[in-house]
Parts: sequence; structure tokens; C-alpha cells
Amino acid sequence: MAATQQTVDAVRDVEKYKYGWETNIESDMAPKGLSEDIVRFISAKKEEPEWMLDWRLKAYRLWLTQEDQEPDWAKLKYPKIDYQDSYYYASPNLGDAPKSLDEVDPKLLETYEKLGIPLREQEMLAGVAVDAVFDSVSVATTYKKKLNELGVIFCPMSEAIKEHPELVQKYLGSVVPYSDNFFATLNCAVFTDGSFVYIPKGLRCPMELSTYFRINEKNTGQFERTLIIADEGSYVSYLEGCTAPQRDENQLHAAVVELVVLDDAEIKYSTVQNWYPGDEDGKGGIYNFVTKRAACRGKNSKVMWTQVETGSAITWKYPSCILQGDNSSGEFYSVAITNNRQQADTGTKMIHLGKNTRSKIIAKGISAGRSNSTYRGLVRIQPKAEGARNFTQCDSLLIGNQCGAHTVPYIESRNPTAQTEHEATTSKISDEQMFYCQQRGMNPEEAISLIVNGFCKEVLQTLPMEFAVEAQKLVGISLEGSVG
Amino acid sequence: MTAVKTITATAFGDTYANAVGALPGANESWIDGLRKTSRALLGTQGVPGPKTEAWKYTSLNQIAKTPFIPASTADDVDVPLLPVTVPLLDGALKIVFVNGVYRSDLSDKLEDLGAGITLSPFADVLKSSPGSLKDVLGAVMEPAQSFTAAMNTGFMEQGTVLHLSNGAKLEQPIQILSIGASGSSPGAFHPRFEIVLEEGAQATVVECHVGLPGQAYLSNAATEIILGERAALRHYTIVSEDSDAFHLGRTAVSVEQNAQYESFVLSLGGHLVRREVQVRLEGDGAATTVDGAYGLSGNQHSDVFSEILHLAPDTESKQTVKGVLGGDSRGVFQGRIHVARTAQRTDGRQLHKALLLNRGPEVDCKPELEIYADDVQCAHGATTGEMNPEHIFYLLSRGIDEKTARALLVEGFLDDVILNVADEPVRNLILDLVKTWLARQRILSIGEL
Repeated sequence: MAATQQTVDAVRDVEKYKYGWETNIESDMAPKGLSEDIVRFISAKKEEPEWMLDWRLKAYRLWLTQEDQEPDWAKLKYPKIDYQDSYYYASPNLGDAPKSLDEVDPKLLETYEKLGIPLREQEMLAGVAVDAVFDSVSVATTYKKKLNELGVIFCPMSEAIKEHPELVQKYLGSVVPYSDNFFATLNCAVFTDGSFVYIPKGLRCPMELSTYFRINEKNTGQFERTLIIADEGSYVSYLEGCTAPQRDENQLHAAVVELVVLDDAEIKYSTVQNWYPGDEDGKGGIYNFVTKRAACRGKNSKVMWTQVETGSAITWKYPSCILQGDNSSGEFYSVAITNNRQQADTGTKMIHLGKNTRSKIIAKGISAGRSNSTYRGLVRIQPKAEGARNFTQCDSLLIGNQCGAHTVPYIESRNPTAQTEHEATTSKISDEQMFYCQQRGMNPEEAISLIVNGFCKEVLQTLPMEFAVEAQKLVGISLEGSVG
Repeated sequence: MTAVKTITATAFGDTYANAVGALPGANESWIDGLRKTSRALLGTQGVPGPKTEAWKYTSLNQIAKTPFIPASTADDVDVPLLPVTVPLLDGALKIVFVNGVYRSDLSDKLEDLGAGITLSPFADVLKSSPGSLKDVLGAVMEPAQSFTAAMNTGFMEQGTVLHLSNGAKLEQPIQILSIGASGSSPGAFHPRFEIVLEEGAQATVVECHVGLPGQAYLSNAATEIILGERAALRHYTIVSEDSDAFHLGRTAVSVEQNAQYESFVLSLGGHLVRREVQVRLEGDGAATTVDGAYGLSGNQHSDVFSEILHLAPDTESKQTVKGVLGGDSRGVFQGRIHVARTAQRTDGRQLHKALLLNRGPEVDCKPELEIYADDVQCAHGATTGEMNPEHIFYLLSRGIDEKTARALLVEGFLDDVILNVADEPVRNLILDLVKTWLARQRILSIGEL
């Protein structure tokens, strides 16, 4: 009917990328290409200790042996990546690290303001400590003092390597080892920075921790490395959000996030991902290959992944939970919106090892334009996971008849006392739904907005307040024209 | 990439091909070409290993390592009579194969089936009128799509061709019995069944794959089905192979406009059983039901692999597969529903449920949706788990002892899907086979209480 056609039309004349501009800051760049020298250069730039360099080199040498083994099982099509045609290190030229916000390059602060991250205001109003990563070097960390007093460590990874080597050595690579997969191995070799968080025993972190990543320099792959450790009985909510400036060449992003959760601890990890998705014809856009994994090591430990994926030309991302401790639980809530020529292959893995472990997966995929979105998930129950429980629900919504929505779940059960349930549906916005909304006086765009927001509600409401608002906006922007 | 190098180097190599010798239809270049292409595929692709997605959960190592001989060449096998263990469908027309060889002495007469209906041995057709198969053979059963299909096509020798002309209705169901029996060496056979129903034709076909105890054998059966407009086929497959046997079977179906394909696969016996089915809904309004049930014990391995392709508008598919797993068995379900861009208003439903009876079995399940059209209603579901203790408690509280309660629940679990079988005599036969199986598993059946 007409409304559907309108949706299709609206989706077709998509907006210009809202965050598409570039800040000119002279970069301290390493030469193009990847070699052992580059790995040494990055390590030297970061003034890293010997053990860190050794680890990087070990990963790099392994990566060299698998160079032709880039994973190809995902439902993604993209030209072969030339790893020698990219810069692996670029840092904003700031001289020495700034001691306060006043010393930060005003241009940089302007960029953040355009992005809607008022650092200063945030410090006072939002109660959010922001560790902002501009390209690869962390330039400002706020609220550090306050967190310090509580014993929370929240700092750039490069700083943690220097200041807290014992924690980094103990946990880095313990969830995602350097040999884990092609992209994770690459990340181990050349990661430049990221966040490090340690929450001490019994502490409920009083504020949401947040990092904004932003790719700025042309042709620089971003290789972030994040490690969060929640010690016994602690709790933390961590927010990650991304926007990137517009450019034509495809950019590689291969991040690794590791979460370690000990007895009775809980981590809530929320992501809003809005990297540049490429233009209407699929030109440009970020290639996003992310390895995210949480290890529920202790009894009653809990992890909750929430992601809103609206950006990137290519998304390859499977935030996972290893449910090792008895009674531990993992949850995964995801909204993936693809438009134009975007391709997303995303999902989760829930590996049940301990007794009475529980997992819940809610994945919503929305495909529009000529895009393809795939849910790919694994639920594995190992023989010792007595009484394990899994519930999975995947729903896909198709807008227009040129897109695709796919569901590829794997369920492997080796314990009879475990119960797994999986259900998936695919549908479009029905004429009845549209008619109902329109005869209540809504125009088709408002109606679609309402319906799509309702479709995602279950996931969006798991986001922290600050993010929920941004996420709702993003859902709108991603389907701009059709959603209010 | 694969665990095993190539099959031509081991199990089905030149030695095997030489032993098979000249096959019927070899003087027809297109048939010869089809076989050669298929054998070449086996050679180039080798045995699929765990990295081949379609074979992720089923290992062919044991088959690749077994030095099979062509079963028809074994001189130490004698099956003079129909074994008593063979499930027979009352009133059906029997056509019997032993080790892939047509046995006219054990089969019913294949004449006078009605106007426009012919049922002939495959080898006879290949020899006398190969041209009649030109648009049929290999039209749906594409060797490149499946290892199972390639192996069958490469070595196909005997089987049946069932043909129904426009509007013909087959009153009597046809029962194809394929019996495997090995002598001192493990044998392999590759029966081929071709079923063509022209416009508006109707038929019921029951395929039974059974075997005799002894050496392992490999039954590599393939059934190719073409259904014209408004044709309707009920096709039931019963796999009850010997406990040491391997079974790799595939059914490929093309369903034209408003035609209907109803199928049910019961899999109870065999050491390793893989049943593949591909249904192509080619015409508007084509519909299919692809149900199944399996029961596993000991170290049995069963793999249900299904692809339902919605290629035209207003097509409908329904699939329910239920499995009961005991011992240290392993059950695999891989089901894909594909909806093409043009297949608007598709309705696709898929459900797999596995019941684990004890500690030991493993169930792996991959229901997959691949959808390129927007105006569709597609859903799938999958569950695994043990018997609900509350259900047992309910029955206990009604004065039923625990063993009986469990039996009731297992039988009820399977009967639920078996009752979908539209043909009553076949339904009763399947229910009986399940009862016998349950009794053998020491799970009493309701009838014996």
C-alpha cells in the first residue's frame, strides 16, 4: 500500500551523515603499512615495558602466518582488505599530555561539542566520567580524582600498562587470547589505546563510566583495546559510543573488549555504534570487526551486553559470555539497523560451563534499503552445566523489498537437565498497524517511528538513561525520513 | 581444510569405480557425462570435513576409512526371502531392492497400475528409453549442491522410475523397500528413485530403508521428485537400518504451481544416518509439509538436513521435527528456510524439538532463516531439554508409576508430530514402529500398559 511505498521512498533519500566533518589537527603519524617495525614503533611511542612489546610481537608473528585466513564465514561481502595500505598509528599532536581540560587543544574540544559531548558540562551536570579517545591517544580524563578516592581505576590502557602492570599482566589477553581470531590477533599487535577499568571489591561504582571513540585521521585503522575487571561483589555500568567523520575510503576498525567478572560482581556494557556507514551507493564507510567477550569467572557473576548498531558499512561483531562460575548469567540485547548498502553480521555466543548458568538473548534486526542484516548466535551447553537455561528471541523487520534479513542460530546441548529455547520471526510493518496509527491522526512517518521504536523497545529500555535518549535519536536518524 | 584428504584416494576411488564397472546408460553421453562430473566432484572436493558448514556436526571419517566394495558384486550374500523384520504397508505395491539390486522375485508385479501410470526399474529405463529421463535425471538432484547427491549420481545403477501423466491418480500406495546386507566385506550401494507427477496427478510413495545384521554397509539413496501443476505427492521415508550401517540419503523435490508435497521422515535405526531434503517451491501457491521424527540410542548419530526454498509468491512451508535421544547418541538438525526476492507473501514455519532422556546424548541444532522478501511471515523455533518434572509429577499424582509416566510422555512427544501424517495406514505403520522402538529402549509403550 501507499504507506509502505512512502517508507521505501523516505528510506531511499537518506540524510547526509549528520556527524560528517573533519577536524584538522596535525597528526603524529607512523608510516603507512604494517611491519614488525611499526609494532615496535607503536610500543616505543607508548613507552611500553618489554613484556608488552614481546606480547605484541608474538601476536604479530602469529598474524603473519594467518594473513590469508581472514574469516569468510559471515554473510558479508567486501573487497579484500589491503593491510599494508593503512596507517596504524596516529595521535593528535598535543606535545605533552594535558594536565587539565584548559590545556586541551580547543579545536578538539570543538569537535566533541559538535558530537554532543560537552566535556566540561558533563563533568558538572551529567555525572559521567568520560575517557575520550581521539584517534588513538586519550586526551582527557575527567572525574578521575573522584573515582580514585573510591579505588576505581579508570584510565587509558597505555597508562594502565605503566601504572598497573600487575593487573594488566594478569588479565590482558586472559579472555581474548592473542591467538583468538584473525582480527583479535591483529589488534593485539597494533592496538594503540583504549580504556582500562578496575572496580575494587564490594564497590558499586556510583557513576556510569563512558568512552567516546572517534576515528579522525584519514586511513587510520582504529585498534582499541578495552579491559574491564569487576572484582568480587562490585558493579559497574560502562557506556561506549562512536561517531565518525565522513570520508570516502573504507576504514578498518578492529577492537577488542575483555570483561572479567568475579564472584557476585556485575558489569553492564552498553554500546551505541554509529560509525560512518558509507553513502547511498555503499561508497566509503567503516569496516567494523570487533571481538567482545566477557568471562563470568565467579559464582553469581553477571554480564549484560546491550548494543545499538546503526553505523558502519560492515559490522562483524559477536559480544559473548563465558559462563564459567556457578549461577552466573549473561544477557545480550541488540538492535541492529541497516540501511542503503550496509551489511551487519552480528550476534552473540553464550557458553554455559557452570551449574545453573542462565543466558538470555534478545536480538532485533531492522533492514531497509539494499542492506543485509544477519543474526548469528551460538548457545553451547557443556556436559557439566547442570540446570542451565537459555532463552533466545530474534525478530527481524524488513522495510522495502530490496533488503535481506537472516537468522543463523547454533544450539548445542550436552546436558539433559539444561533447557534451551529459541524462537525467531521475520515480518514487515503490517498494513493494519499503519492503518491503525494513521486513523488516529498520525502521518505515515510518525506511525513508522512509533512502530519501529515499539519493535526495539525491549532492547532500548535496557540502556542507561543517558544512552537511551541518544539511541532513540539514532534509530530515527538511521531510518531518517521515515522515522520522526 | 578437511580432516580427510579425498574420497577418491580411499573409499570410492578408482578401485571402487573399476569394480562397479560399466553402468546402465553408459553409452548415452549425457548420462555418462553426469556420472563423470559427479565422480570428478567427489575427487576435487573430497570428503567434507567439519569446516564445511553443511557437515559441521556430522563426521564422515568412518565412511571414508571403510574399504567399501560395490554391494552388488558381493558373492557371499544371499537374501532368498523378504526378512520378517521388514515393515510392510498393508495393501501397498511392493518393489524390493537388495543391496541396490532390483529383485523381481520379491517384488509385486509392476503392471496395470492404471491409465497413464508407469513404474519401471531405473536400469531398464536407462537402457531402453534413456531419452524419457533427459529432462528429469539431475534436474533437481544437483551433484554440485551436496556430497550425498554427487556420490549417488556418480554411481547410480538401479532404482525405480515412477511416472504419472496428466490427471492420473494412483490408488494403491507404492512401497519401495531397500534392504542392505553385507557379506565378509562392507558393501555400498546407490539406489536412485525418480518420481514424476504431471499436472494434477496424485500418488503416495513409502520408502523403507532397512538392513540385515552383519558387516557395516552404506546405503546412499537419492530420490528425485518433480511435481507438475496441482500435482500432489505424499512421500514417506522410513529409515530403520541395521545398527552398524551407514545411511546417506537425499530427497530433492521441485514443486510447481499449486502443487503439494507432503513428507515425513522417520529415522530409528542405523549407526550413522543422514537424511537430506531440499524442497524447491517453484510455482505460485506451491505448498509443502516436511515433518520428521527420530529416536536414537547407544552411539547412534542422526542428522536431519533440510533446505526449503521459497522461489515463487504465495508459497507455504511447514516443518516440525522431533527427536528423542538416549544413550550416548548425537542428534543434529540443520534446517534452512530461504525466501527469494520474488517470493512475496511466503508463509514459512519451522520447529525442532529435542528430548534428552539421560546424561550422555548431544543435540546440535541450527535452524536458519534467509529472507530477501519483505511481505513474509516466517518463524522458527528450537528447544532442547529433558522431560518436564512437573509433567511426571502430574502423572505420579494420578497414581501412575514413574516408568509408565515417562513412557507416556516420550510417546506423546513423538506422536504429536506423527499425527500430522495424512495417510492413515502409513500413520499407523509409523506409530507401530515407534512403539516397537520404545519397547526396545525399555521405554514401555502405551499399548503395553
